[in-house]
Amino acid sequence: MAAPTAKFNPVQDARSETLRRPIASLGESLADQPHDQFEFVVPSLSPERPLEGTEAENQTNGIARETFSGIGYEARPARRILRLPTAPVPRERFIVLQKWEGTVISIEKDEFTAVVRDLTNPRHPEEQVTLLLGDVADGDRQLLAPGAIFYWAMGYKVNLFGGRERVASLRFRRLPALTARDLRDIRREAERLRELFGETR
Amino acid sequence: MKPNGSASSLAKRARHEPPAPDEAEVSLFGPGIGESAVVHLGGGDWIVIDSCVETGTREPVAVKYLANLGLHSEHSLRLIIVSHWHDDHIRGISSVLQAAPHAVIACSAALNSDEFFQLTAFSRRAMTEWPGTAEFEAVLAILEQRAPAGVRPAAIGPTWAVANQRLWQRSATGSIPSAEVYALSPSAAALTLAINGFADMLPVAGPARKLVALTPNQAAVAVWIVFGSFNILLGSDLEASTNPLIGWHAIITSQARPTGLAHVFKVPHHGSDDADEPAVWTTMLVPNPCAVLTPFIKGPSPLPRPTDISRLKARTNELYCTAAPKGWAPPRRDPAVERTLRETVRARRAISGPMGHVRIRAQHSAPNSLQVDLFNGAHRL
Repeated sequence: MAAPTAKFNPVQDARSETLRRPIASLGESLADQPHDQFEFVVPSLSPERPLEGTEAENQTNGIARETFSGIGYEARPARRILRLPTAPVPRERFIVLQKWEGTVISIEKDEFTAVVRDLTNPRHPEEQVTLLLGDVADGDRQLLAPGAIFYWAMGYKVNLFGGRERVASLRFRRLPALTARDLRDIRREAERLRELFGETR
Repeated sequence: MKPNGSASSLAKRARHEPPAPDEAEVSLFGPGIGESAVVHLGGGDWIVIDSCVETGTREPVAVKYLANLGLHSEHSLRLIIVSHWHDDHIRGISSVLQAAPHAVIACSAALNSDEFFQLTAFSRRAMTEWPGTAEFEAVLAILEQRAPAGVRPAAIGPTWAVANQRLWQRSATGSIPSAEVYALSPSAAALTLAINGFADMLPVAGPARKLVALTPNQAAVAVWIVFGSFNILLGSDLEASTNPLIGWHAIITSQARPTGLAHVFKVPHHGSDDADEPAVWTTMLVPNPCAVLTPFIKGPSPLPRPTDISRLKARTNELYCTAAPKGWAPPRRDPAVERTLRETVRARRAISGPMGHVRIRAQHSAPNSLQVDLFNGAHRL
């Protein structure tokens, strides 16, 4: 006698606490649900792990062998629960078209001049550019000095609805502060170089 | 004295034809930022002063040029001089040294100081590409690796160059005259000033920063080359000073420097007025010498300025420059990037272009008869 068909219902059938959370009903978009409510259960795929109960018991409990989602997996009680990544939070994206690394060489009244090196196409020559001080973020202003290094990127900001906006991003590099230990290491290495190569005059 | 041919009739000899064994050559390269001089002293002996790299490949031009002449740096290069540590003079010098295992390397003695060794050790933490100190550190690493076991690396280099020190020599053999290479600087006083300057740059506890080159440059190595009766003066970036103990003034007044007048002059510091010492033209150079300069297309006022060119042209009719001092149009990018650039950038230019090349060749027996060839945008001013 053919086994009665039973709809696989992970909330009812799987023996796992992770399935106590609600799952999106058919027809509902995942994006419409709070992302932290989703847990996905993949039934055991291991053939050497039989169902725990007898087939009759399982059928009584509404568990039966059937194709899951049409991909050929058997619907069985979950033995191993894989926590798949939760649905990402939709957010704005930045499509980078061009990146440079720059070094400030001079600062004038309302602008600064820098030499930029093309990180997107390293075969391009270095360029000298003059940029507005007003384009520097408030939090980066104290970093602006000859020798300061910054990253400069251009591209598109894509909003939640796919709308695009051309943008440029200018961020100054915060080099790690030198500690007393760093300075000791530098002096030690300098001493080693002096012993190897130094000449007393 | 005049070089052969006018500007329009220059560049007749094939670029990749090596000089004759008894012929001297001074090749000066400059792409806009950086310079390198490659000099043939007869008999297949070559020296390199400073280094710059090709845009794109980043290959040091000196090694590439010798290869294009069909020569191997390993067998041809006798001496490499690092005139000073600034990025635009030292880029790729470690690759030149790597390609020339038998060459002697000489550096300004200012770099032989605890202060500069500390800056070198600091370069690993500077966290940006290619500061001059990092290139110098690479040079030391090569020498350390090359030193035979149990031998202090200092035994193979660098030679710490000071004023009036002979760095290399070769005796005459057959038709090939003797050759000598001297450092004319730095003076003792310049060394002290330079080391004090390095001390001011030493890292301190707190936010790290990139090293910014000091000016003025008083500790660079100016080079005097003798090939038979043909003399060459390469001015590096050495600047002038009213202090008689430093800069060009110290060289002019030195009683120990080699005598003679140079037929070829590499104008110091890209022709800037702060490197101009009129007495050099009257006491160290033949009248109307062949003068060559490289541009420095970085900063708010690229060098040479129009006033610099006028001043230099008043001193010689034979003035050449390896590249246009105005820079080049920047490369084209994605249309969206180009539009954003137009909206956000006030001024923009490429500061490195084709590797301009001025080549001067001379027979030692006819030092006043020079052959000047211009390549890749090099031009007569």
